Amino acid sequence: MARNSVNPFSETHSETHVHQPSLKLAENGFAILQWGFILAAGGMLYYYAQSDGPVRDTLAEMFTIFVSIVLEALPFMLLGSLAGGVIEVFVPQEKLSSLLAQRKLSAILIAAGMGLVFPVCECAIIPVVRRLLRKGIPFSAAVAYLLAGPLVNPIVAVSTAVAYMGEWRMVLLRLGFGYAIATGVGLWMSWFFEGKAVLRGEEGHGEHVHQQGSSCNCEDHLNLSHEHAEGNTQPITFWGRVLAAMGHASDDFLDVARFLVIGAFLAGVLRGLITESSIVGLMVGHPFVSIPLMMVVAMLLNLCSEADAFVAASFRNLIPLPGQMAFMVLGPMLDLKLLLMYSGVFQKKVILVLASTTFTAVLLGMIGLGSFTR
Amino acid sequence: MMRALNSLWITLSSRIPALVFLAWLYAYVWLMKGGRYAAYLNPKLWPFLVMAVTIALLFLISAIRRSPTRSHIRGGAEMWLQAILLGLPLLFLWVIHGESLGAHTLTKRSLSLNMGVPAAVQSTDADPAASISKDGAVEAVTLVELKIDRRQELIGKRVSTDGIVYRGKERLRDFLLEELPAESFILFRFRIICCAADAVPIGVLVSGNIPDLKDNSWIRVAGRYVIKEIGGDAVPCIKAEEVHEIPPPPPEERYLFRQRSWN
Repeated sequence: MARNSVNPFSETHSETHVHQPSLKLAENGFAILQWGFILAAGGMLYYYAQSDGPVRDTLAEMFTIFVSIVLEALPFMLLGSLAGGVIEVFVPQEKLSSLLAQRKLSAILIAAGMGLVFPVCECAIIPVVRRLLRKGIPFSAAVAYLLAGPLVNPIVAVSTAVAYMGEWRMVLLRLGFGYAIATGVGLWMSWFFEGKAVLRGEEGHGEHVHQQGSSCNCEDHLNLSHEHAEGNTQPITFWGRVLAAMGHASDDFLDVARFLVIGAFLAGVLRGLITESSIVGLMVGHPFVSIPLMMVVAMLLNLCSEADAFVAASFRNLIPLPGQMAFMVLGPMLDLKLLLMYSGVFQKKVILVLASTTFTAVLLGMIGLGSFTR
Repeated sequence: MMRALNSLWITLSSRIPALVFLAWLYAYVWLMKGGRYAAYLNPKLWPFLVMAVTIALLFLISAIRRSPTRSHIRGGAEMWLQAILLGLPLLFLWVIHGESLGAHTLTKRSLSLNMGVPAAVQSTDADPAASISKDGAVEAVTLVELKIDRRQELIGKRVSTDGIVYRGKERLRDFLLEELPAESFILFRFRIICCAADAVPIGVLVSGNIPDLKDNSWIRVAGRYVIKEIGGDAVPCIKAEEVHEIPPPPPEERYLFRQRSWN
């Protein structure tokens, strides 16, 4: 078969499948966890149907929030998957790689500001980043875009300004910290992982497995939809490419959206258990305690980046500015739902470093802000 | 026999993605019909639902065009797992539709009853002359208009508004009240910015000769909107003249929504 390194229809993705016993065991364990989640959720639904009084009210609240988060996030996940499919098929891999690989710092700086031109929410950005990584963009730039895209964008700027009644200082601080932290974490991550295998399913590869050949790492769906038998070197029609993009996009969606479901369910359960006043009670009179606590709250509440400013603003008279800012900066970068979605895309060690670095960077940034504004 | 089962497995597995997209397509169309989605989302998000329907339809067409191959034998279990996980929210939606956030949720959220009213505002409760239109017509308003959008304009006027009753006393300090005045309760509704996860309660104090009301019941209150001084705080309050229990509105009309505009 004549392998075309830019042909998204080629079959080279089979090279990326790793059949190691340890990986298979990990994948089986992952699947068992998901089946366990299904059983637990089903059990809670059954209990809700049988219960009455406050227990039923609590479960109804949890389930309403769960369904609401999924209904709100899914359109953006669909859009993100579609964008990822289009990138996969229509953006030439070699051009993208050669354009960005040699300009790491400028690639990070541009990627962190891309949200200003292409605003995306945190749910939509994950499939896009996965495709961009498979296309060979530097990992550091992908991380910068992943973290800053849902935060440094005009929609978030306007919603923050509205929530804080036109207080532009809050907007500038939020977007400024978001940009600085995303670029910093991007650079830090490149130190550890640039050029290495970072995506889930690539375990065991020392180097990035998509530098050559197709960027496709899907199951062999291309066989199903495009009727491209091996050795078929006929030119691909535009509509053939569109259908291929849809195939990639729908596979991405099915692969990642399930983690959104699990994350949204956990968020609903936690939202139903957490009493806001108990959290606020811990923070009153302790300005520096408010920072890590509000970061944890942001991770547990899983709010979308357009809405979280309104919740932060409702704490305005109770929590110091750095605590509010910590809530607004970390939430779009890292929450429970996103962590689960990351686990569908990245390897565990990558998620561990990414999450701990991001958390630490936001914490230090907000402590700095707290010292400055005292 | 094994061959037939294998064939059936392949056929079923290959159709799973199409079934998932079809189910979600149906769900979004059902939610959009009659604005049912407002039971979970801000109605202003409708363009995104239209977008979701369009993309799900494209994905459905793509999934239908695929033909079964060996990948469905190898990946069959994984596909079923994906399908069940993605079908789970639909099952929950079907079971819980009709439920909404109420008094139980209020006990876990922060509600500042004096929110939006400067502490320096003088109490209008004791001074009848402060009433702008004491005997004027009753104006029907929402709690958002009372507390945020038209708070200054409505003080002293006779208003009518709907909401949910909360009479619990255990969390008054969380509502920035030292004590609930006798014969009074909190009237509230949830306001949604994007979805129910970010719902914020908006409430006022209602005082007066009040019938025995249960928590979570929906009522319509008519009376004069005044500022009461309670524990050194200026607290907006409706001095109730009439209180009627009303049936709960349909799920899509129970929440108030933030309009995307400066106010």
